Amino acid sequence: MDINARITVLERSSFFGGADRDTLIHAAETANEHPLGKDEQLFHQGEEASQSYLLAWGRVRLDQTTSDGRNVVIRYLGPGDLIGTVAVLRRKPYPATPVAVEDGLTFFWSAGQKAMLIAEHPVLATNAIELTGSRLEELQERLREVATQRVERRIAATLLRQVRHAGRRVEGGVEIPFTLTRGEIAELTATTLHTVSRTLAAWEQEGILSGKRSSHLVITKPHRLVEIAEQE
Amino acid sequence: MSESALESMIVGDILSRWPATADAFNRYRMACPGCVMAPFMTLSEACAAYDLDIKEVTHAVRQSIGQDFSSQQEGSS
Repeated sequence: MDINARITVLERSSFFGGADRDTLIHAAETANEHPLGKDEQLFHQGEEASQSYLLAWGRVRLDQTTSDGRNVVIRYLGPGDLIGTVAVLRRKPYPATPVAVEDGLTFFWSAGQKAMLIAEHPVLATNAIELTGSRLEELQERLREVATQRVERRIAATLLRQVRHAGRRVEGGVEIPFTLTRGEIAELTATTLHTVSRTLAAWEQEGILSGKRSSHLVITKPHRLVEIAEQE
Repeated sequence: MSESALESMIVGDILSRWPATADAFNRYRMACPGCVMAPFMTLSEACAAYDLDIKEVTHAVRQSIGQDFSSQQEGSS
């Protein structure tokens, strides 16, 4: 990919929001490219964080294994999102395993290159704080949900998060335009596959979700799903 | 903007183009401002979801668009 094409990708990432041309050129010149195949793991939880990534295109699922061996899905990442950057900057092992959900491309920088970029262009430090802060906010919200709310509400909230991330209007409703299995929903919601299957089946009966067995969920009663997510 | 055109406009677009319309939604107790589904539902779909009279709500939304324009005029005089 040539420099200008890289710059176009970087410009669209909020990590580079407000960055001037010099910053973008510097980042584009020092970037390496790593193509991602579907199901490929970018790195593994626990490994030394030597490289900091930016997803140029594609979609990635961030998996984390708990100490008792369960898998939790932290979040989904899309084009422009950073992967592994905080671990690199904090000099800690990678906290999760990113898995490509579809083919894509990442740019990456070594720890040293990233540190140099940020030192020379302080706007990147401010942006990194903003991004980390907003992820923290989301995780706190999810923690509150787990601690206090009925599972139905949490499942609805999980689906609405995916809609906010990548929702698309289609004939008949709002589509989550990527494969989201009941198992993944269970892991994102910290509940069991059984509970998710039961809840989604009930929602299909009520006409809230499309009953079609395609791999993309379509929410046919969007207002009703919001009501469920916000109920007392 | 005619009222029939407003009815088929996406709620999120109405709110971002004319922020003062939030007032009309709030008055009808519609939780549209800031709602995750606002970018995906038309005004008439939102009214149906809340079981509200489409004509009445659309009229109120249109009135509140007028508020945006009149405050601009005051500013420039």
